[in-house]
Amino acid sequence: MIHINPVYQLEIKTSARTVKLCALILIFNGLLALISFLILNDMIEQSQHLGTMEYEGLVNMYSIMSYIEFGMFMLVIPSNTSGSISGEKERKTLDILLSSKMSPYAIVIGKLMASLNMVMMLAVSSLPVLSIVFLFGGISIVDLIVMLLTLMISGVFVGSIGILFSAVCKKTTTATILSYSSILVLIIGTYIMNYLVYHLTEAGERASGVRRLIYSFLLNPAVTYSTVISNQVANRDILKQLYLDFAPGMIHGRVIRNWIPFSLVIQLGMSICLIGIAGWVLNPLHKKRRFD
Amino acid sequence: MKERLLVIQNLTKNYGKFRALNGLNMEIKKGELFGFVGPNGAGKTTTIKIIAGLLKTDIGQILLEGKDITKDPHILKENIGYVPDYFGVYDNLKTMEYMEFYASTYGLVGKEVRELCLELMEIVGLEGKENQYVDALSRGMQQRLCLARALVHNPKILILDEPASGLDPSSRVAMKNILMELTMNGKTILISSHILSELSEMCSSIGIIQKGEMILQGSIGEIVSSVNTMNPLMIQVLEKQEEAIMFLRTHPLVKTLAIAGNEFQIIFEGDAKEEVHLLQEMIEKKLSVISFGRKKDNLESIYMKITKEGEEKHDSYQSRLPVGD
Repeated sequence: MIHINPVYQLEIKTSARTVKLCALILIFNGLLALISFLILNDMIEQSQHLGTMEYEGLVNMYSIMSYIEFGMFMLVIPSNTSGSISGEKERKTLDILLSSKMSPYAIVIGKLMASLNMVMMLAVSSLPVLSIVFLFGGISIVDLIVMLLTLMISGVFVGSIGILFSAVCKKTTTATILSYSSILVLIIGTYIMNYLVYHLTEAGERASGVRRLIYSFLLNPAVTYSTVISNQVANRDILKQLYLDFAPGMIHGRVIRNWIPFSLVIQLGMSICLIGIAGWVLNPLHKKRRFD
Repeated sequence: MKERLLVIQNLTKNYGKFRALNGLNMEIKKGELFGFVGPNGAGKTTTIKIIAGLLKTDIGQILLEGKDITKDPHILKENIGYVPDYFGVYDNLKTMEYMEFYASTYGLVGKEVRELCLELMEIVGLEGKENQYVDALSRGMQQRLCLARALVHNPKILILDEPASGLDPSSRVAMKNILMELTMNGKTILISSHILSELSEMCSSIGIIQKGEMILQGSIGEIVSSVNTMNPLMIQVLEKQEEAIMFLRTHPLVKTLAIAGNEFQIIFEGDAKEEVHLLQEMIEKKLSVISFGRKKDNLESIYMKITKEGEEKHDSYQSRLPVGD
């Protein structure tokens, strides 16, 4: 008999009984469908006037839908994972769980798997809407799979951040605030950091164009995701622009050429570390507890 | 003589500068229902959490059948069933699912587990409630469900931290009966509680903890008799009261005498043998003694007496410490 992680099984069972998941899928797909409908409607109206249909419009529709999907993931996953362990603390069920034979790592992994399950449901349920792009061609199934895979890995990464804060914090509110703040630091903070460092350095030093700080964007899921999308639709390459802005001397380097696999591997590696730390924090025999 | 199941040696735990446990020693024998009592902040929950593997000890050992479980969490988790003082509820979960979930955390899955869960639910009086949502159960039922959950992996020792707190009287009685039945079936139970009258009714042994130290431990009978030897002797005579008063007043071991009708309360400074001798003397004098014995304390008054003494000892020790310590 296959032994499924008990925490994962429990989470799936209990979340399936709530309206939350159905409502989330409905809102998520409804939003995607509405936007694709508006774009398609606009394109059809234009084609009626011009007599031709612009291919760029379709490509833009795919980009917009992909970014909406990414945005939704970045919003939904941390809110879900940041409450996963702190919720157990608030419900006072964590001690019982920790006194069982399940290791703290298994508990953490079960929680993450449950969150990813929800993410998978969102991603898979959005496929029919995303498949509208196949009506006119230009985007292949492989492109869609790569986009979803990138999305999933980024989801695991931000999910792990949420799990870590959930293990550290006693209250879900604190864990949620810290998770969102960290994701903001990753997405916007890396840009601000590069911008500030670039503009604060000497002009002579700046001229060399070699700035290793650009690698901090490897941890930025938004940069990697946008690189995937821009590679697929061949429009403005955000990564190239970042290199031109902050490290023009490194634009022909090995890292930029292999940015997507490098970044995804780093994000996965970071996720493993974060899960490991969360498991360590959760282990009562490691932690120094306050008197309670 | 019963075999020792759990032995705690020199357990010490500090929370920063605060010493919660100060070299605690404790012994629980197989099949015993052990009552763990002490004032708030004495270190009961800390001890229980250490035994349950939820807290790390600074110094000391916990031996379960001779094996140090603080060094092997695997043995600890396999052999200990823990019931916390508060029952946390998962939303949208039925009682049977709740039981099966915890069974699966011990690697127990399948049809047999379902049967086991049904059996345990029957033991705790929750038969027929399998499809009811846990959050819809009463507090008493939830606590009994938690007890059934703690038994799912058939632990050698069951540890309950204030299981009766917040329960109504009938739920308390139900819980007490279940625990007594479990002990009769050979389960070893450690229970911490503030309700001493209940503990005295169901426990075979108790341990009194104060300021992180075990100040008294033993069977209820041993503890009661050890404390009772300090109590006044109560003697009742049917007739010849004047003669009895004269006799007692002149007895060298009688320090004080209080008279209430035909009943005398005396402070007798003798041991059990001398008590027997006194009774024999009174019978020889044909004083028609109808009752004779030390005034009996209940667990509550013993507890109050002992913890007060402990407090005084501790305070006098503290006052002898040099200033600045």
